[in-house]
Amino acid sequence: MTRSNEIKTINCTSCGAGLDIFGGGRVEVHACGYCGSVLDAQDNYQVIKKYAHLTRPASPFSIGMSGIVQGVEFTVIGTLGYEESWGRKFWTWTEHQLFSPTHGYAYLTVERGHLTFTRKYRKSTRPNWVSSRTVEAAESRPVAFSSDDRYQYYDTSTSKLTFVEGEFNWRPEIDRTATSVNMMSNDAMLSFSETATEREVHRTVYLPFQETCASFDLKDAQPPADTHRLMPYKRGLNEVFLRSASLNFAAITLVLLVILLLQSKGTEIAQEQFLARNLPAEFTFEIDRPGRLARIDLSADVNNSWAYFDLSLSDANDAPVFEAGRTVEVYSGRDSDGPWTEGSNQTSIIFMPETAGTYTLEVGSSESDGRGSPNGLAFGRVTVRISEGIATLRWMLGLTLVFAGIAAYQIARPLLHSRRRWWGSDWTNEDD
Amino acid sequence: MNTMRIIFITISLSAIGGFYYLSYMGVMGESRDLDRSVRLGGPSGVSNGRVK
Repeated sequence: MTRSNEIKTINCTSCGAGLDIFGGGRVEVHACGYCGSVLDAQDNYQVIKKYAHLTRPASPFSIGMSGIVQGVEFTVIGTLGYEESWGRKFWTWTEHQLFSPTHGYAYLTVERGHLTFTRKYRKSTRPNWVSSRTVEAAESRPVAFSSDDRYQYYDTSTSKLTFVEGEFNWRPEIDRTATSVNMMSNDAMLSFSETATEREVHRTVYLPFQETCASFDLKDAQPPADTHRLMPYKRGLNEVFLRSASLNFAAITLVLLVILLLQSKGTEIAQEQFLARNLPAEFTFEIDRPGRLARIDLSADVNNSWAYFDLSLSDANDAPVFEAGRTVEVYSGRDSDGPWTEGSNQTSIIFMPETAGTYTLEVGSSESDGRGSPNGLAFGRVTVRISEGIATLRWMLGLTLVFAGIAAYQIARPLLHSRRRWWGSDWTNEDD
Repeated sequence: MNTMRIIFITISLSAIGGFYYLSYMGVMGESRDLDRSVRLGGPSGVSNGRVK
């Protein structure tokens, strides 16, 4: 039995309120939004049940609104409120039953501001059915196939109906629960839903927010800011540009980095060797490139010994430039793992000469220990080398990392989006 | 080309030029433990003090 399509309005048989008819001939019940009575649309709108004091869920859509969804004009004919809780977490969403005279019934869901579109799925799936027991017994993430799509297990949810208003082609009951095993592909969700009396498979896809709201003539709706599990990846306006430009700039900075690396050692301008017994001693050298870094390299023939060297530098005007100290130590031996060596017989100091001219370096060794050395001396001689025109790599290296980071982020954006989509999945691999 | 792209290219080229200059000139490349609060001189010929 189907209801006549000629009827456009009825009066609620419980409270007398006028109710518009939008839902076509297969509507089974009509829930009055004024008194909460559920009327049997197939039997003269007799009252089946009455729900009082139901809390209306939030939604920008209301019964009677029409708009284009996936190229088809649908009318909102009903509103359902759902909730789900798990531990301390609590979710709510609103579903609207849609009707099209040519395409039948469907659902428009509003969840955290996101819009999705759901239809009953009539194509075959492999396996035919996925239950929560199947999921609990699975050792790896369950997979289902349909058409050419591969769906992976996402979560199992048990939802409860909390609100009902309008026309429906089924009989919604407040507090009735349904368990759904949800499997997600790249762009859709298959839900294997089971109630106490029936099983159904639904397929849900994400709807573009602006386009859908505009179609339903919703002008002030604010688009959601977070990522929905079915939200397709949307490439940024400048994403490709930023990726390629950053890679090119990173390549340029790498070339400049190599050039700077070749310059980082500078030019050796002086070298002097001192015997240990002649320390402290003075050593002069000419600085021709003031305002560029210069380096003092110091090496000593330490052998199972250490020596602390005092260095002080004065400029052409005999004004002190700096005073510093460096320790040079080398120890070696053999143990059960074989021979070992630690320490270094070289050290260096980098400074910035501000004026050109003759600089004087004083080298001394105030402390040393040669007890482990074969000859009992900490060192026999120390060699000092001076280089100027030193470049530092840190600035260009930092900039290279910045460009590489920007490029890496742009490349990783689709992957990050995919991770956000799967964030809410309740499947955990045991080896994760 | 939109404004954002022009700004990005301009900032990037400026950064490359500026950072190359800083690296070439060795800005902030000095050893950090140099003690400049010294006055040369002393009985050993090498000052060991921290005297202004």
